[in-house]
Amino acid sequence: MTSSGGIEVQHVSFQYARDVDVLAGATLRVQPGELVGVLGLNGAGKTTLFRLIAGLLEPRAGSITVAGFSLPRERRRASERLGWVPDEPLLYPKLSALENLNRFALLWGVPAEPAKRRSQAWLEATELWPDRHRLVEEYSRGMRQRLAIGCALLHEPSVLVMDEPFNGLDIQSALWLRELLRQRAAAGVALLVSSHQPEALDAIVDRLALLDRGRIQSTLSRAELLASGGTEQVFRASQAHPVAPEP
Amino acid sequence: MIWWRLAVWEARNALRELVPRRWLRRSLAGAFALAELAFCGLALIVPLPERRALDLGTLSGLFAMNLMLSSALAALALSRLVAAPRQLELTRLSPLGAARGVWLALAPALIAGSLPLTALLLPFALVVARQAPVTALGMALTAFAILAWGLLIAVAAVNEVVARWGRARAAALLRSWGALLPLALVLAFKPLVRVQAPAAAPLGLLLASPLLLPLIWPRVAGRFLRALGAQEQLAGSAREPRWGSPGWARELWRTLALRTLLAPVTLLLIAAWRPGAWPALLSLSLIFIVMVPLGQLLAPEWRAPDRLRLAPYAARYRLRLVSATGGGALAIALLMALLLGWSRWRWLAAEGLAAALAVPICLLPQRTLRGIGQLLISLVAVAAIAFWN
Repeated sequence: MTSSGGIEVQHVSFQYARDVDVLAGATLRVQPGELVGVLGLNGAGKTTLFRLIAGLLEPRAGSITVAGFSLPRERRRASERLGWVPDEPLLYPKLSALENLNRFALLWGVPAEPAKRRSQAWLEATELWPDRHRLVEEYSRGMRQRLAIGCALLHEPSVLVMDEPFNGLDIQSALWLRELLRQRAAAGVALLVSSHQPEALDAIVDRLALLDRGRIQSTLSRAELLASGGTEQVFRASQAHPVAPEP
Repeated sequence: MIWWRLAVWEARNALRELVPRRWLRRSLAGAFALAELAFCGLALIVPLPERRALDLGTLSGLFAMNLMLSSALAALALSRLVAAPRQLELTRLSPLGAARGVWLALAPALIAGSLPLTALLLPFALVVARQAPVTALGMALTAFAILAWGLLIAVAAVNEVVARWGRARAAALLRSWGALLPLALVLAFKPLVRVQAPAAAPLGLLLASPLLLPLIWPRVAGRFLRALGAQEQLAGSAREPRWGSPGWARELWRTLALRTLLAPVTLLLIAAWRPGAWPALLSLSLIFIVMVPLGQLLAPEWRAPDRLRLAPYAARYRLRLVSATGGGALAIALLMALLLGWSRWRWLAAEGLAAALAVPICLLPQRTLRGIGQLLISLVAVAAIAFWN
């Protein structure tokens, strides 16, 4: 255990193929209670960064700590505190919503009673309760996404990493998710979220990190973001006048 | 002929999936092509055997095997289409039309899969072509005709099943009994496969095929596309889970139910038809009893491997899965082996060892390795019948 809470990514580099840097010295910190958004084009390295933080990949250089645990050495302990929502939900298609939640509870070590209670509360809050016994293979994209978020939150993680969580959600669910993320941040959870929807990031983030060609080009506080005219304007400006990466 | 080029292109894609590494694929293809050229060259220059010595029996055996393999692959491709009809959405939207579209969807598996045996057959066919060109031509045309009719009958049968029982059940039925389709096809066309005289028997078929197939196939394919395109409300639902329990038995029942019920029936039917095959069937079945449930429960984990890689209690979960499902299935297989092979101790030992080894093989994360391992262990199980008597 090296530091307390949150996410710390220090000078992380990663290559899928030799001589092709997907991440080149990326540095990012997310404090407990903070919601950081990551903005970048396709191929900028967002998903790779998130997979590194989840411990699914190992960096070639640099260090990563999640909830105070260093990766990959203390991966299991970090996983116990990490909630991960990938861009494609990791659900079991042949199980119902309740069965999925039960299975995830087993995999993340949540005892039966709290798992049942939290699952019911989650399904009611996401309006999935009437469909709780239907097999997930019959769910729409938005329903699967809501369930996937529930599975990621079941063990009450202190760090939450969400890759495109707004994908497939209708406006009601998207607004509800914004509210939920703000609530989690207020409760002390460190959140890292990527999205291609500028207005969603504008509405929720405390800080915005711009990722371009494997580097964090800049990070803006909420005040700076709003003063710059929001995520869309920041992105346009970054494309027109690329800035040197942060040290 | 753009649709034919598309089919070849799709077949190349299928090969790419099968052997992802380009250098390996090219090396294999190069070696394969060289060997084929050498064999074909040899077939063209070797002195012709006496007409009487021409082994048409061997040739028709290879021919039948090729047909069986092709139709097995077609059945597999068909079951995949029925299970995941979204693959056909592009076909439905494209201007290709139903006849070509459905053929295009089935062609990759057919072309890629039947290539090895076709290559093996080709040098023999060349020798026959030199000595008895009419027979060779008759066999080649018969092969195409049988395959085309077989495909047509299979698609028509699937249409009927989908219309009667719905797409989901049709997919389950195909998954369960699809493997028997090639056997049925070969049995149905048995007289034609054994070409002993210059294409006398299939003359009617050869004449009827170019006249009837272009008329019937578009209708059957069109109905197939329409049947798979229809929205079907699946009735899949589950009861409240027992919290804290993984519920594997329930998941297994849900995914395996039909197959589990049909497998013993199939086994008994084959055993009744060929009693001599009983020891081999039994040996193979015992291995499947171990491999199928584990494979079925691990399939979603292989499709989304990140889940178990992320989960902090994945090792405990996996151990529980192996001990409960793998151990349980192994115990059932061993008990059955003991009951049915009582006093054949050496066979029991060999079969038990193979069944026990099947469990760790099912856990291999690499699909190719796992497939090779499962094939090898099945062969070992079949070889164990040497100890039966």
